[in-house]
Amino acid sequence: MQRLPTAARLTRSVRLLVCCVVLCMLPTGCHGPQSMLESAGPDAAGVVTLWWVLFGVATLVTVTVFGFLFVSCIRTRGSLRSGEPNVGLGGVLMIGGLATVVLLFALLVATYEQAQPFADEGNGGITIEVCGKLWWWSVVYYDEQGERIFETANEIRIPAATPVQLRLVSDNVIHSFWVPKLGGKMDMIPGHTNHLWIEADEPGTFRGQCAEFCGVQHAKMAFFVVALPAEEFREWIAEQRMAAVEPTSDVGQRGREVFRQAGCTRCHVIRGTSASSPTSRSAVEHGPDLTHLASRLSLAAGTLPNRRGHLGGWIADPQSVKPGSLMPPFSLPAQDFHALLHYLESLK
Amino acid sequence: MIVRGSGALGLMALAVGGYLWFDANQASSETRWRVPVADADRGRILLRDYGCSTCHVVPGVPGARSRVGPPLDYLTKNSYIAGVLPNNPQNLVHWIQHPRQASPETAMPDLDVTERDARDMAAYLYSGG
Repeated sequence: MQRLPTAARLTRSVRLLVCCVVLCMLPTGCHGPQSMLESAGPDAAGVVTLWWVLFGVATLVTVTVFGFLFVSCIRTRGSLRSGEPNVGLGGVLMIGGLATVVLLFALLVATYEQAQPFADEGNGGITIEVCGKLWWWSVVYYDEQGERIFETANEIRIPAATPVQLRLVSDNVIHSFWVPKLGGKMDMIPGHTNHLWIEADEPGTFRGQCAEFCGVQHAKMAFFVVALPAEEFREWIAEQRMAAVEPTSDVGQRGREVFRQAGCTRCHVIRGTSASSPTSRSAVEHGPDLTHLASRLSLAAGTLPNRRGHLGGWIADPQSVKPGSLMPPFSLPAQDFHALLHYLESLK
Repeated sequence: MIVRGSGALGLMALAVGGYLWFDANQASSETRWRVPVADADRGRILLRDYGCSTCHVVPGVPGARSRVGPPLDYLTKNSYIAGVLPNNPQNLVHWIQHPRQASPETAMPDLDVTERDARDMAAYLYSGG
């Protein structure tokens, strides 16, 4: 083989180095707030184990197949040169075929074993109904007797180290519910109810994301699951089931009036106030329940942090944040705008 | 010869003088927008955290494309801040902290910005030219 000139050899080593660096960087994508390889609950841990098994088997199969391909290339070249026919592969083919069937069957059983318990419909404990909306999540809590307790949005709080059953529905298009660190993925299909169990080992906050393309704002349809210690969870439930506190200050009352008059009540509910009740809202233009808005982590389904600046911008121009969102822009007189922000921030 | 030589010298002196004057002006325009004790990189992150980016176009801040408020690019070219305060670092820091105090009719809310945070944000906004 001819030796390459020094410059060409150098370019080749640089290219090789770049490839190696890029390859080394790829696994960093496996880490992060939505990494399914870093499980935080028993169901997700099972998924990770299954993932590694599948990865191992796939690697083994790939290496074996390419090994045989390599050997057959060598042997074919040999037989062409010597003129003797290439024989003796019948046994290899049979073993290969059998191994494929056995492997695929084993993986099918393993996958079924792992996925089955997710979807069991169980009884007892709190049930949370999550409904995929365009492009946010409505979350309704039901008690042990199946009575509706309250509604919230874009945030699911659960007790840590306790399996919680979710009822997944949709009244528009197909969405898919996925919290990679807590469990499997489950579609939300209009006219059909799916069940899913999730459990977090420790208290913490886990990001979830719609995993089925559902329209222009599919990418900004996220939510948070917050796992709390049992005692804190009970307190949270007690707070959430309460109605909003009526404002006492002048600016707060003015804000409530603005909320009512600007048309917010057409889509949103603030329970227990004179601003609106669940019946005042049109079923078609159903926006998130805002009763305890100020207690939530994010605005616009995981899109913005819940802070005054973001809240103001979201109300004034939601279309620049989430183009296509069903929320219209509001250009309120400045003092009304400040009063509205004050009122919404008081909804702890 | 003498007359010619002095003419050339005079031109050179004029050129050097002109350059020095220009340079001095450049320097003063740079110091004019300097915010004392501020970290512009931190300011860029704060512009997102506080939510400025949800209402303003801010170059270099992801997602900052709304026009609820005026765009914040080329801030040093503006004569006034929000049409009320002469544009200088001291006034910008004050505006970021207390917009409603400076202009009671503004729709920009007070965001409880600390002085340090306001200085860092101002430094970033002026760094864009």
